[in-house]
Amino acid sequence: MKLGALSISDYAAERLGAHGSTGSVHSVFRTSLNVEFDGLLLHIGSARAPLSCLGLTVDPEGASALVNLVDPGDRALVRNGILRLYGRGDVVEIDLISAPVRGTAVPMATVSPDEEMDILVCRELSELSLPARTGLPWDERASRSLAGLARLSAVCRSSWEAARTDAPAPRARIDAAYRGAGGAIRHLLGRGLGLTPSGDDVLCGFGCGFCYLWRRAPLGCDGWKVYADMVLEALPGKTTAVSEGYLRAMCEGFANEDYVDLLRSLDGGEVEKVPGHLERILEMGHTSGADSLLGFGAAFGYISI
Amino acid sequence: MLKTVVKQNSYQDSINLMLLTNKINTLDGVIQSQIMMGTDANKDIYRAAGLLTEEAGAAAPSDMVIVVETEDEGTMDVVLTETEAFLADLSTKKEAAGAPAEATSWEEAMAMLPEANMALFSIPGEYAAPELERALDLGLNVFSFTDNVPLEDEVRLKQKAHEKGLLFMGPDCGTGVVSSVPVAFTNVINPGNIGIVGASGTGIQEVTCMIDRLGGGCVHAIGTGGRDLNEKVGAVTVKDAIVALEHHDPTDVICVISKPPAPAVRDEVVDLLEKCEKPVVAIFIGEKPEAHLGKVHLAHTLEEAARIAVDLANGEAVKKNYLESLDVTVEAPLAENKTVIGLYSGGTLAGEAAMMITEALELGSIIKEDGYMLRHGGYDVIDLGDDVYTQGRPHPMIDPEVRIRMMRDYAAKATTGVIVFDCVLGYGCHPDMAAELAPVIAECIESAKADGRDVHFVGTVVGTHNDPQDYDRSVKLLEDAGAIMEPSNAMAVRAALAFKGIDFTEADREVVPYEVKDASPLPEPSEAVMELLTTKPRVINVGVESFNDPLRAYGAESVQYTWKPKAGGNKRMIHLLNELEKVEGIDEANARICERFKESQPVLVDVVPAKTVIPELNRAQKTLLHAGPPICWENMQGPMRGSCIGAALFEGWAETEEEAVVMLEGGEVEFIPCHHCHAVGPMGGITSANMAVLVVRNLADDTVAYCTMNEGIGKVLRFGAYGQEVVDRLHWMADELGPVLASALKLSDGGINLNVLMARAITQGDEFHQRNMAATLNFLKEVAPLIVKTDASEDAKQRVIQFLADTDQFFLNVMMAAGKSIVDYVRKDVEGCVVSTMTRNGYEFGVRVSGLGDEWFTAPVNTPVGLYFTGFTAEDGCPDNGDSAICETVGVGGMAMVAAPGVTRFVGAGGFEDALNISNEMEKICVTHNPNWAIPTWDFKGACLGIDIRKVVETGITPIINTGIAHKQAGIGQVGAGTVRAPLACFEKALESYCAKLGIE
Repeated sequence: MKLGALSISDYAAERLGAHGSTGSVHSVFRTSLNVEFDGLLLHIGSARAPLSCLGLTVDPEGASALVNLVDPGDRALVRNGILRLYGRGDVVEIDLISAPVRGTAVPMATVSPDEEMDILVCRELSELSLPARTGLPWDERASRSLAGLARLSAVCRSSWEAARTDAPAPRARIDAAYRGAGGAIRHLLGRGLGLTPSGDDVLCGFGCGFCYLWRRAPLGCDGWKVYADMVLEALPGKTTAVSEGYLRAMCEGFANEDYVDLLRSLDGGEVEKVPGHLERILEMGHTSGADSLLGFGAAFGYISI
Repeated sequence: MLKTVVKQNSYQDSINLMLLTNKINTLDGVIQSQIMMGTDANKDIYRAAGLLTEEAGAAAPSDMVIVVETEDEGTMDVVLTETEAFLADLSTKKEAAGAPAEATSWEEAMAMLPEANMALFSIPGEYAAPELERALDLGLNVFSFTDNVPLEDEVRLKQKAHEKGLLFMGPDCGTGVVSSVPVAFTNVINPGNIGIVGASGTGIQEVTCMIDRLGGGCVHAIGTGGRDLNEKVGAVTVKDAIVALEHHDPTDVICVISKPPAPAVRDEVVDLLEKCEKPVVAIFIGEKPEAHLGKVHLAHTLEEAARIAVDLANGEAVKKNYLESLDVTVEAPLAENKTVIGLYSGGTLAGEAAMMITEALELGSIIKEDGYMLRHGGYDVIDLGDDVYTQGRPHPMIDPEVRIRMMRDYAAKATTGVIVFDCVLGYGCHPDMAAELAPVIAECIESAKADGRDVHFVGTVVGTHNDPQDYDRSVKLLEDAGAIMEPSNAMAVRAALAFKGIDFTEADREVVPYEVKDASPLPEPSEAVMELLTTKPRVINVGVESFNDPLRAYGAESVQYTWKPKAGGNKRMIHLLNELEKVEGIDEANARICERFKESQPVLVDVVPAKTVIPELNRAQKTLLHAGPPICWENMQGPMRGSCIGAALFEGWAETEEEAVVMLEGGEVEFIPCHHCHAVGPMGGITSANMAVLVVRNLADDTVAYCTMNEGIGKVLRFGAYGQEVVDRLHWMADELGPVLASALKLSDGGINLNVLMARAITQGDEFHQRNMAATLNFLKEVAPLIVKTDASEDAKQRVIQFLADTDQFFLNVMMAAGKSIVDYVRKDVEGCVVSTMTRNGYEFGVRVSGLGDEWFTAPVNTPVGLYFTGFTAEDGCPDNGDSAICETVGVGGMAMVAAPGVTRFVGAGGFEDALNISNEMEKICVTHNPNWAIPTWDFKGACLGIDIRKVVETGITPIINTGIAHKQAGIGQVGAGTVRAPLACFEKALESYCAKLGIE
């Protein structure tokens, strides 16, 4: 069976070429699958769903057919721009060469991260009853973890404001925020059930928003780098291969298409589009959408109680 | 004592029969048995086993022969019961599994799977060549598990395949993988980017299984048959396969495996591999490569070939040396006199073992004699799959018996130090070979220990974790039994040699430059071969049904063609049939003949004294017409003689029976077949000058035919009775019945249209031979009003009408005359090979054929089988008699059994289901159907039309005739009714003659 990739993320495209081109099918779902290469867990999904920063999309009929032809463990090879999956049902060839590469890097804020954006995000998220929809056991520890993440973002804002007025960075608060965030990471990492545990989704969602807001480090507070390093250091062996893949991508500043679109709309002032983006994100997985939005909201100061 | 049962025309494939034989041999009371088809080759096996009885020797190739040696008379009954149960179980499993319908011909198979692109063969080699060729002619790639195909046929067929752009895998191709689908006896391998071309079944198995266990995979493993690299064959298939894999995108590495090739052919293959852009590895078993040649990596062992292929597939550099260290440690080598024995089910594995031992011990070169791959100084390596060990037995991968016996024999010898063996898994192999071998191994080790010596068993399991058998469990069972199990055959042999203190080494292998000898570019592959390699195969499976299992389990489509040898395996007939297939125009000629049948319009026009219309009866010479082909008085059976006596008395040639006999025996009467005088006669068919005959005219061209009238039942002339009442009745029929009917017919408008009458009656349950009730009533309905209008006296009219009303079978004779008027019209066109006459005289059955004019083809008649009237048994029955088979000739009677389900029980043919089966069977030997006579119980299909002698001979299905049974003694009359088959010999003779006419020898 021959398929054409309808889109491929820049993150995946770069790594498929750079790393070893031999792998195997990792997991197979109803309309998508993951293929494990050395250093990359490639997601192949239907074009009906948002493009994963780890992968590519094919047409929906092709995706439905594909998942019936391959099984976990089947060999995968990339040669001369063709990805081949050696399924017992068929050898599937996916043409990567002519696939349009889509940017899945988290955009950096081009507008001042003012309160208006925070208020907008918080208002929209408050409509979604996220605590009821999250996969995390919603207890004090969970809300404290979220608060810890939100505090990290807030202290970055304080540093930014201080830098604008040439005031010194609030060092003590920054260090405390780092410690709080570290605790949150340790609590959330690998917590929950599923292919991408809910706690990981929270960390991804937070990282996405945090990266947008504060990747360009305010003076005296390199919050984004610290956060990413803390996640990477805590990662090995703590969670599923799929989740680890997404967390690593997040740490390099990449996110799924739906989050990239959301951030672009926020950055562009396209307020009317925000609810639609949030709905699309909520459709992700079983609870992954709600989990990631909890984290995302924390980056904008939204904490559900 | 030897007991024999022959089941005629009962074909089963050899593997099923071998399994059945094994089962029967375990029964109490059976000393030994053999169940095989009755081919000449198999008779040699019976002879060799001391089981060739007279009945077995007389059996035909399509007969199943059961011979049992036993001391108990009752054992055979048990054997037969078990046999029926076994065979019934085969078909029950099919039905229970909701198995798809099966084809019984190429035409049916292609209709069931029009997109077929491959034919998989597992049929006896002696019949295979024409079938293999047929598959190629149908545009199918061929996979031939079938072996014993003559070399010259292989050369010719492979050349033909190559020219047609098709792939011919085989003959003797036991293993293959096509688009990740396992074919025939093979393992389930993980799919991957390695493509294999193998002129070695177990070679493919060993390499693919190793690749699988090393984490690699294969998309194709194309078997080519063991002789492909023979000088005469020239590696046609290997080369085509290499070219195809080179162009197959998902294949990244090409691996070629071969038994020892012809040197010139080997060089051609290496040249071709050099031209490939993809990385390649090759192993020619028996060769010890010193270097890689150019880009062709050469392996010494199958394991090495697999390891090189996996490295190439992973994009890694090929190592200089692939020798892995062994786990086994030997404290002290075995004594000098201790030897290594190899007992293998896989031929190539045996060859590899022999090669390694020969090299290690510097014994010269490997051999292949009587199954021995090595036989030197007590070192024996045996291929138990060799013909020597598999005559009349299943292959050792299926049946462990021979290997178990040899393990025990060799283990008991004081000189045996190590026994090396293989245990092959996969589709088609024994479901649990390890469990069979393990206890024997444990037992042998124990026994040796008790003798104060050690015997070591070293082996390998050839399989994967996806095989139907459990790979890990197989290895563990054998290890627990005391065997040392290695992951490859090469390592097993090295471990065995280690026990002899020999450290098998491999020198590092470098790459040396290679100059291609033939600089022509790599050819392009054919479209058909690339289509085969890029899609799941769609297979017509010709032979062993179980070959469908792996195909269907792994996504291929397949249909079962339940093949039987043509003509019951008669090679002369097969040759003639194959030659006839090449002749154009026969089918068209037959179609024209059938049109003449259809356009016939028989009409009953008159009833007259025979001598007024048959000149042979109107002369001084006393003459009697008789049924059947020509016959002399000496050969006439009782009923016909009785009829002759009755006719002589009727004609007034004699006053008494004794006088009549003297006259008849004295040669005063000339006997002529009715058929030679445009007439037919029922049973004895005796017709004399003054007997009244029906006159039927075929309006197609006014062809006329005659038949005496039906006398009724009981003591009648046609059954050989000749008492006064018979003679008196004949006079009445001539003097009153005949003239009254004649007068009535003259009052009709041109006579009585018999097509219309028959078309009506066939819907009312008549088949016009044994059952004419409806037709007779319809006839009475037509003729009674006319009789009333004649000038005959009221008493005469009453007697005539009463007679017609009482004589249910009256229409039989009308039908016969109608049939004769049809066939004599048909016979004016001398072409085609459709039966134009069938008839019997109690001594011989006679057949005429449309394209062969008046020539008779005769053979001894059969005796009908059926039901007997009370007081009579089969002992009383006379052999088959009468011209009434004219009914079947034109497609009614037994040929239309389903039209008259009411008669099936009467003739002992069973119920409606049986009647339907018989009609469906007759359909297979006919050209078409006759729409004039549509049969409601057959879904309104017309009666079968046009018995084609080619189809009769090819299928072995002979026309079935419904018939009365006369007592074998004259004068007693009918004693029963039944069915009888026309003898096949008539049709075989006719086919010979037809072919001779066409110049076919």
